[in-house]
Amino acid sequence: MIAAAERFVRVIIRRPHAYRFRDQHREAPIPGLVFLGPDGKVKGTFTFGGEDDKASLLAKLLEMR
Amino acid sequence: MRGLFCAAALLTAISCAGSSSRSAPAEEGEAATLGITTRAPSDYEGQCYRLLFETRWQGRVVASVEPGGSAAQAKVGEGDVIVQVGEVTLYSQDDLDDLLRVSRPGDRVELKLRRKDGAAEETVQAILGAARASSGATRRLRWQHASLGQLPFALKEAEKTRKSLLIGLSGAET
Repeated sequence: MIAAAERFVRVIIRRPHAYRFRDQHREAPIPGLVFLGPDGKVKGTFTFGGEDDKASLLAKLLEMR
Repeated sequence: MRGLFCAAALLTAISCAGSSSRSAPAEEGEAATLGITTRAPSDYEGQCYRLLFETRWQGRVVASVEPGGSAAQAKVGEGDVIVQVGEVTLYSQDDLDDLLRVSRPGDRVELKLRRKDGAAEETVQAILGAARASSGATRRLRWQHASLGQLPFALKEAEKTRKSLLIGLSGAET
């Protein structure tokens, strides 16, 4: 478990539910991550590519937020 | 006979809103379970039970039920179709797995299902049982809420705690 993730309320949304989420948030990448503020507004997104070490990437990404 | 079976299912179908009582995710080493295995509905079952939503079948057909388990106690039988668990409409095994992963043993959940004998759609209550978590339970991210249906809970929690939300879309590579 990535420690920095504890700073977030974490929600997993899969296809096809994810498509409906994207209907409301056009910038949402699938597959990917979306950061929302407590007000529910999008603060950032991240799209997964072909990275070899996704765990390190995720950890860095969450540390930076 | 098949037509009669389908017609009975169609005529008696009713809709009920799902809900569940939720608590914090399970501790490491334990996992919530319904005590069932499921499979995707066949095209025939999808038509009979009116499972088509947009371009795909919703629901999971119960393939086996663990005697004395959570689903068995809730009178869920083989061949029944579980359409929704709590706030989560099921389209895949992942949907069910995600929901169980963010739940804990003892949580009460509402199952919206269609009976295999073509009787009315029913809503039953189940209390999730406990199982040993698989080795795959050690993940990069431990999700707290599953699917769009639980997003309102997450937003409330974020507002209350002043935390930001991290939304993983479609597995989010975890």
